[in-house]
Amino acid sequence: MINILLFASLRESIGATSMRLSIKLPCSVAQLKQQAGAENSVLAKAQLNQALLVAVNQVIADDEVMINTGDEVAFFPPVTGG
Amino acid sequence: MQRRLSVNESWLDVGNQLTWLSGDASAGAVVNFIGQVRKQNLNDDVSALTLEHYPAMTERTLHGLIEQAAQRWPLVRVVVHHRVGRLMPGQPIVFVGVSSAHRDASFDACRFLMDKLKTQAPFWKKETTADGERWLDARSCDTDAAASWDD
Repeated sequence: MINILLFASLRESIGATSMRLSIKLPCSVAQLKQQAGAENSVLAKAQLNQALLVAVNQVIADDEVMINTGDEVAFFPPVTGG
Repeated sequence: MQRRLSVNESWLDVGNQLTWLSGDASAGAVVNFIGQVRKQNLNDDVSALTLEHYPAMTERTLHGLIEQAAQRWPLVRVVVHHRVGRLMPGQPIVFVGVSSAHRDASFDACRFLMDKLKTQAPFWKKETTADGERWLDARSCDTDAAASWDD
């Protein structure tokens, strides 16, 4: 079981500041995204639109990054600060 | 190198930041950027801009970018101050400033910090217009600008 923090429009569309996903760890970011998309249509759509970023321990992570028990994971849209 | 890094809802005093930034006379050059809330976007009047952020990751990311800039250019002082929360048109959102002995480093480092911040720092803007609220989309020109520093 992994807890995923949600931000911005994803947080709003899903209606929660975090979500839990049942997945065997360690897993890759790619595997997590695939499962998340299978379970949640908002996340599936975000991936289709290339509008889903993943951070692991507060660093933006690409698909090959591995996620271990205790890691902090977040899903969010492309950033728009500055 | 000395630095100031802030991410908070407090008022951004650009004069105060610039005074500190210029305060070390080993620097002969001082360059800064201010991002502020525009009163119009996409043909609509903007009444407010709300900045959401991922606390802790913002500071971590900005600290990392400052470190990268310091490795790449000989800097004397660096300031990055990014506000979050609800902002009004005309108000400053972000102040980025650098100082160095000579101007090339300051111009380049300031541009680097802004280009990288725009694509890596976890902030998200939501505009309030007469029609309601909308999240702003990221722009490909920002991604291109950030990538240009990696050549």
